[in-house]
Amino acid sequence: MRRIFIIVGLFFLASMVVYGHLCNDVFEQAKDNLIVKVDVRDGQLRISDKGGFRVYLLNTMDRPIAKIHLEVETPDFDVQVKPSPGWQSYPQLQTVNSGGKKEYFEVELTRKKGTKEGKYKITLLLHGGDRRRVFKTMDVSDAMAVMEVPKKPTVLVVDGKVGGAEWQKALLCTSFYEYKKVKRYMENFPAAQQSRFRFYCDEENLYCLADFEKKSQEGKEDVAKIYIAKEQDSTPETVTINLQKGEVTCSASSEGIEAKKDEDGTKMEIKLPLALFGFKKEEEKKEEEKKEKEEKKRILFVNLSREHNGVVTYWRGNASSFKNPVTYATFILGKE
Amino acid sequence: MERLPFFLLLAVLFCLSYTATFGAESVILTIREVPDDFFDNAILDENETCEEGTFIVIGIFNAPSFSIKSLNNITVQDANSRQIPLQIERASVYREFDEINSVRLAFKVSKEALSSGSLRLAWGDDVSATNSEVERLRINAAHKERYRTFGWEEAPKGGSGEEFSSATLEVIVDDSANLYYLWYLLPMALIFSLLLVRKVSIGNRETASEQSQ
Repeated sequence: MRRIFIIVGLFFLASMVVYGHLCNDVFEQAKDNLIVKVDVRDGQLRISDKGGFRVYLLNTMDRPIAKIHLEVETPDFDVQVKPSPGWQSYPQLQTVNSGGKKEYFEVELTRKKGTKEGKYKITLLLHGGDRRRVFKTMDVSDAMAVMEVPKKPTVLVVDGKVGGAEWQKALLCTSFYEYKKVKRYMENFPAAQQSRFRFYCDEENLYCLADFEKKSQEGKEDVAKIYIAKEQDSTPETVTINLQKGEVTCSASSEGIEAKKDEDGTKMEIKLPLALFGFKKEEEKKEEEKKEKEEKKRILFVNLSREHNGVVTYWRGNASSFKNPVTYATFILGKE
Repeated sequence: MERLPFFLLLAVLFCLSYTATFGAESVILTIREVPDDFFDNAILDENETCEEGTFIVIGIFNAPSFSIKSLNNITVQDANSRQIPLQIERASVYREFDEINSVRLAFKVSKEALSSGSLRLAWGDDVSATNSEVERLRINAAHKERYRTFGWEEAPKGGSGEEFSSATLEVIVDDSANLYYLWYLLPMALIFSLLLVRKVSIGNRETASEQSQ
């Protein structure tokens, strides 16, 4: 009898260690290892009577999360939150390191009677069953990651001469992270070797200033990558920027790419044709499309990484998630 | 009377330590354990002092909106808005277009100060601090347990700290929302209308000329 009690007790202890949904550890680890993306396409949720959005989740921890729930609080709308139809293990969220995948909550809002036209705030809370213990502080603007890429100024020329007048007003992407061990867990820390990327666009091209901040050491590789997807579920194309060689290539095709390294050897100005990522060139658009003033927003999903002296740093996500478009930022390309 | 200038000076210094940072940008610092390899590439110096009950916090700050002209335009404030002296690593300073965009800095903070509330990092032209500079920051390996690093989060705009653990999303209720996303068809509709009007008017003219014949 005593043996049975011991075995049963050990079994429950083991379960708690494996799932960890009651201890603080999973909440600690989730800070950098639970990727959350709020999919509100152009950063603005506009509804008449009904509307909705998705909250995507990706678990890159070393274990599954036993329970994860999304609560949406608002006095102005009726709310329905449903896990995606394909999320068979709900409320458990499997880790990608054991075959798990991106899952999502579908949130549907229905306007209540008496809710007039105007702006309203709704609150999102991710918790493990007890709403007093949230999984992570969710910065919605970071979770939506919607960024406007401004139109390129006329003074900008891809010639390796980097000037403030050319690039200062471009979209800036920086604050890269290294994924490092802290005692038991992996966490994101600001990279010792930082990178700065600036972006502009025009009708046909994406312009990029890749600033490596320091010259690469002789014989040591220094390569940055831009991952670009036209749809959140599509396989991204990879643009590879090799600082030593001063070369830029793309997994789709390198046709039309221009790149120039500056005199210091730390920056590269790059022109990337949008056709490489699935946008049509002007001459390929049909006549009726040309006549139609294109007000529809052009969107790209983008992430960045860099490998310097064998150390990989990431702009968004970590080693397990940086190639998954759920981690990517949404670039809205400026219009005329 | 003779002591008046001294007291005045004290009062000025006291006020300066609470220097307003209105118009400056700021973030909330989150103090964290250092990674396991923190001491591997550090410059060690056993002469670096560290008082009992104090943490030494070292980290890189380079938020995308961070841009200052002088190394005295950045500061860390405790929960009582008192400035904490910073030590800035000159070798880490990065400038883009004549402005400083990235620095590695260190500061000391007591356990009491950490437990009494959030630390805030502020920067901008309105910030006036007296920070010291060293070529490279040094670490005393004999006090490994006292070292921390930091991350940062956007400071919540109003509201209590409780609200910061959840997130808010803005929803726009618009009775014409269903039509909103169709507005880009307006130019096309206009062209069709003009073509239709032109066709009808040409048709009318031809009919009129036939009748007159």
